[in-house]
Amino acid sequence: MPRVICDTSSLISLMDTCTSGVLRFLREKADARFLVPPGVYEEMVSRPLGIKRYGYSAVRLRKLVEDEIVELLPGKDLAQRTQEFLGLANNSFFVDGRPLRILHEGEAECLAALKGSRHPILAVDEKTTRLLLEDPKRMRELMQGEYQRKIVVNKTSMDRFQQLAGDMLVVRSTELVALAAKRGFFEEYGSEALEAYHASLYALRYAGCSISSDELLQYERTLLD
Amino acid sequence: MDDFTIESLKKLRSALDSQDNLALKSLAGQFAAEALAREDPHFVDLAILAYSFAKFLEKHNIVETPEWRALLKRTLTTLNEAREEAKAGNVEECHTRVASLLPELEDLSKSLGKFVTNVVDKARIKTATQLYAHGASLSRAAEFAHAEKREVASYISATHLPEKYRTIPVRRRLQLAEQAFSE
Repeated sequence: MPRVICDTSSLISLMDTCTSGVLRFLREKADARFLVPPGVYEEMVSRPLGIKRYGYSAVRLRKLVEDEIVELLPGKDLAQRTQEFLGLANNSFFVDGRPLRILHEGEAECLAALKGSRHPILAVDEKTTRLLLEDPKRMRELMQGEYQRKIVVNKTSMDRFQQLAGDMLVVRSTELVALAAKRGFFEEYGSEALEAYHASLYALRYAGCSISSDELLQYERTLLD
Repeated sequence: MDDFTIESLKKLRSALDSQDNLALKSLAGQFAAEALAREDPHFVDLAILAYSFAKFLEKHNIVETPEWRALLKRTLTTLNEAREEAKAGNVEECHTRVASLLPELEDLSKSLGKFVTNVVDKARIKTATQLYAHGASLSRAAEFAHAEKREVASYISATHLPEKYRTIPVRRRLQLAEQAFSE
C-alpha cells in the first residue's frame, strides 16, 4: 500500500486546479494512503478557513480528511526528527561563511513524517525539498549562479540529511495526476480524456507545481495506455 | 551596524530620490538575496520598499498626486534618519524607521490604487520569489517575506524559474512512481 506524505505545495496545486479528486481516485484504485502532518493541516485548513479567498480549498481538503481519503498524522512523535531535518538542511549550504536557512519547519515535518515507511513517498511541488533529496549538487550550482558567489557545502550535514531521508521517492502533483490518468481518472471525458489530462498538467504548473516546459512536453508525449 | 547596511540605505535613498525605477528593482533583488544570506529581516523590508517604490513609479495616476509627493518627501527624510541611526550603531531604531514606511505605502496603495491587491503585498510576493530563486523553499520564502504562499507559488509559475529545477527525467520519475503505486 503506497503511503504518501503530502506537503502544502502539492496540496495547493491540486486544490487550486480542482484536481484534488485524484486523491480520492488513487485511494480507491491504488489503495494509496495520503497523510498530512499537523503543520500542513493547520496551514491548509485551519488558517485559510478564516480567509474567505482561500476558504473553499480549505473546506474541500477538510472534506477529504472527514471522508478518510486524507489522514491527519499525530504530531507528537515528529518534533525531534523535524528539528533534525531542519538543522541539517539549514546547515548544508554556506555563503560568505553564513549558513543559508533554506528549509521551513513545514517541509521538514513532512520529511520527518516519512519515518518508518518501507517505501516512503513524498508529494511536494516546490523545488528546494526535491533538489535537496534528488540533486544537492545541482542545488548548489543554482544557488551559486544566483548569488554569483561561492557556495560552500557542509558535506557532513548534507550526507547526514541524505542518510536520514533514505530512499525517499519524490512525486509532484503532476505525477499523481499522471498515475490517476493511467488508471482512468479522465475517462468521463471520453475521446477528450487525453486532452483533459494534458490540460490539467498545465493547470498544475500555473498553480505552482515546479515542472519545466520541457517536462510538460515530455508528458504530452505520454499516452494514457 | 556594518558598512554594507549603511551603504544599502544610501543607495536606496539615492535611487528613490532620482526616481530611478530600474535601480530600485535591481536593489530590491540584491536586498532579498542579502536577506537570505544574512538571515536579516531588515533586508526583507528594504527589498519590499524598493519593489514597492519601483511599482509606484510606474503608476502615473499615483505619482502625480500630492499624497505621493508628501510620502516621497517623508520617505527620503526617514531613510536619512535610518542611515544616521545605523551609523550610530542604533540597529533597532534604524529597523523601526525603515519598517514604519511600509504601512504608509500600503495606505497610499489602498487609497489611490486600482487593484484589490496592494503594491506592498505584490512587493512581498516578488521578494519571496527572489528568496526562492536564491535557494529558499516555498514555505521559507513566503514566511520570510510575509507573503501569501499560494500567491508566491502562482507568481513563480509564471516566471522562467521552474525551467531550472529539472532533476530526474519525466519517464524515469513516472516509472518509479508507477512501481511505488503498484506495490
